[in-house]
Amino acid sequence: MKNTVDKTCKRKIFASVIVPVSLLAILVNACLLPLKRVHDRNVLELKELNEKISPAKEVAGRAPLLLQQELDLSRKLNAVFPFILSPDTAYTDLNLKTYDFARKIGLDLRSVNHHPSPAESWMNSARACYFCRPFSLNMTAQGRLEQIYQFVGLIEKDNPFAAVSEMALRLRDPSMAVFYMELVVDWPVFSERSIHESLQKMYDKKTGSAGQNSHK
Amino acid sequence: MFPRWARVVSCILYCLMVPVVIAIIYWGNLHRWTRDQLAEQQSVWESLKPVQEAVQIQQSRLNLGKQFLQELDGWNRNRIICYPVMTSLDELIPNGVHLAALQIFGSLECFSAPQADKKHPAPQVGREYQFRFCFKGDQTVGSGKILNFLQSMRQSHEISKYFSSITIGGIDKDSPMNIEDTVQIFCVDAVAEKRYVIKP
Repeated sequence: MKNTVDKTCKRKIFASVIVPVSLLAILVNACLLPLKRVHDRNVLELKELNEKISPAKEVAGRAPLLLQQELDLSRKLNAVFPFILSPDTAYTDLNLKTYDFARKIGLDLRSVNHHPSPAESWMNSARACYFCRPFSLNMTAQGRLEQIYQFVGLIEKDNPFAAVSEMALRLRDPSMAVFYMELVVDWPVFSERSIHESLQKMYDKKTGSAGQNSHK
Repeated sequence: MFPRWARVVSCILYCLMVPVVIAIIYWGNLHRWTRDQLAEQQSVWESLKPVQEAVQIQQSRLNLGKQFLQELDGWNRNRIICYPVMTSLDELIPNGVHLAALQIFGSLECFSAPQADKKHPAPQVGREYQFRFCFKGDQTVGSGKILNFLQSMRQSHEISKYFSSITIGGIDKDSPMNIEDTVQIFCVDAVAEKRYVIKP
């Protein structure tokens, strides 16, 4: 009899401890901890999103300013595009131009040749670094000093990027003050046709002047 | 008999459940709030993302254009405009002195190879102009006249703005240009500083 009472009592004690412990364990493990985990994950995602959103808002806020800047830039670029020659047509264009200049001032232009200069060769290998590379034209001419000066002046005035690379003037006929000139001039040409095309396309769109400014 | 200590323990355990339930309600609400916030922020991000991408493309396009203009500016700056130099020189040449020869060296040079660091990824390209003017003068031209001429070249704005050094390169009576023995041949060397396409 006493044994049965003890057994019942032990069961009751066991139940009175185990039931709340299990309930607590269930509440903590099945509800509280998952909720906290989800909450923590959400907080982390929120933080990450906020980190992305605030710079994105800042970037988006710059859009009107950038648009204005781009319009200004496209105007500037369209103004300089005609001076940068296409590597494909540079020789023909410059030949025509130099003969035209010489004729204008009555200079006896003896020859116009293109021998790739060392700079052209190594600038070719530096294509990735520069948009342009030089295109050198070797010229020989003879005439009076004023004519030679004018010829050089016309070349320099015609293209703000053309540079006298080498020049040798020698007095040929002292009595007539005629000089013989050897001249090497560098014009910038696009390193690659694709650069020219992509820049032109990019900025023609902005001003709506596609093709107008492309150089021949 | 149900012992007293068991009742106390049971009571404590049930009491412990109260804060746990409160915590569950609290975390539940918090979770709902963060979930709503997350959804809201996600919709904001969805709307901002294409704008940000478009602006970034616009920015890179702008940078490309700026770089191109900067390089072109370098192409413009690295040259010496010879016409004003030559015409100014023409005005400065004293009586009895005539230009006999002129040599210009100003080819594009690679001053330094590209470096591995991010600061100098491109080779440093530029020109280092050297002008050599050779003059012939008659017997009236003495060294004083030559020095005065040199001084006036140094003072001329069109010439001095380009050249950091203007010196007499030599006086040579035996020059091959000297056909008549009576004339005096002297040269003036003008050297400009390095002019880079892209400033280092």
